[in-house]
Amino acid sequence: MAVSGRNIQMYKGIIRHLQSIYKKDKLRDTPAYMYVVDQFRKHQVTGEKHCRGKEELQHLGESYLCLLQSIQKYEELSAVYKGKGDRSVESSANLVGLNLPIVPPPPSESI
Amino acid sequence: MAAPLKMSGSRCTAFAKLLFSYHRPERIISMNPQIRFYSTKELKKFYRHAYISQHNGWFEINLDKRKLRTPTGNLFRVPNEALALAVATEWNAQENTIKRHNMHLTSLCNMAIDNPTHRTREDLIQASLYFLETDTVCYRLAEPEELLEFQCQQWDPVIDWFKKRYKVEIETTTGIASLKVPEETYLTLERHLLSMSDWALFGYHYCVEALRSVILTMALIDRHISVERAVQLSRVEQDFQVNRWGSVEWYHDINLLEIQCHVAASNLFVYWTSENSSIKQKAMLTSSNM
Repeated sequence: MAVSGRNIQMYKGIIRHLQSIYKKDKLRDTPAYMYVVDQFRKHQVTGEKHCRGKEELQHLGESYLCLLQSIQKYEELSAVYKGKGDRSVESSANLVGLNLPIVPPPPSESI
Repeated sequence: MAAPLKMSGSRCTAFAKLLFSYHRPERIISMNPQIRFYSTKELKKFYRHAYISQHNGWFEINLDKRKLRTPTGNLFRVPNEALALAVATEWNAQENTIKRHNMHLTSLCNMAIDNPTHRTREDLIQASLYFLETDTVCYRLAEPEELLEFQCQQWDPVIDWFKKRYKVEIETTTGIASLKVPEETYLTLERHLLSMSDWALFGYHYCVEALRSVILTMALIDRHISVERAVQLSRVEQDFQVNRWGSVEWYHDINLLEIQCHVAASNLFVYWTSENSSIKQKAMLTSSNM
């Protein structure tokens, strides 16, 4: 693959995501990391001829990066907006600027 | 999945009896229903590492020492190393609990291995092409005018590419009546899809369902457009409204990310299950010739 800014960014992006997945392990020893690095090395443009799979690998890498990013962002957003179950009547009323009517105290038994 | 899910025998028989009372018994036997009750509880992470291993040319996933299985109990195995690594990475990415809804490649593989609804190749192709007559990019709104202009500007290049690439005819409409797609268009696309592997067809169908468009799926898988662009094109109207009225993060953004996950996963799945690479050695002078 021709070394361009776009490809380096993609490579770094994938590696960064792998790093966050394999936090406890040594990244260099994980098979997924080795595979990614190997693929990038293999598809470099050699001095002799252009490899046909240039855009192929680029497209593949971008898709994978997109998948990893989307999953991460999705997780983060769902954590922020995680439902807390049903709203109470009072908070639903407050939502639209209303208050519940004040309930009169129960009549005392002495009367 | 290797999740320790329990199947209760008595409930299973009760369900089968219920089925028998509605259908003829011989039909039930031929259907061979695979019933499994899923626990709705969170699944704790029960392994430390996911590895891949190779057996007879297939790649399997090992969770510590156990082999990963699909929901119906089949052995989980995939034909491609990269796909196996990506699935293993998905399993490794899980922290305390296993979030099965976020494991898109795993679920695609499960679907292809188990084929729970017993679909044939023809079924899958028909189900995908069924979307063509209601393809998102062919239906435009005449009002407001800026939207129509925006839609034409965004979608026309893809449609032109599609027509040229597959040498087919397809029209666009601003009405609500369904399009009349020429028979030849269907035949051409069907021939194209028939050349795909069985597994790739599952990916195709998943992608078409997520994008609600056959044309965008074809453009994506033929590497004409990127995943982000394909998803953006499938949501042109929504984007237009968002620009005008504002975005609601917990709906629009989550929806966008979800579709992106589905589309990216199916694109990778199609690529990896139909990939066929070989290395051609250049003619070189060996030492004996020199």
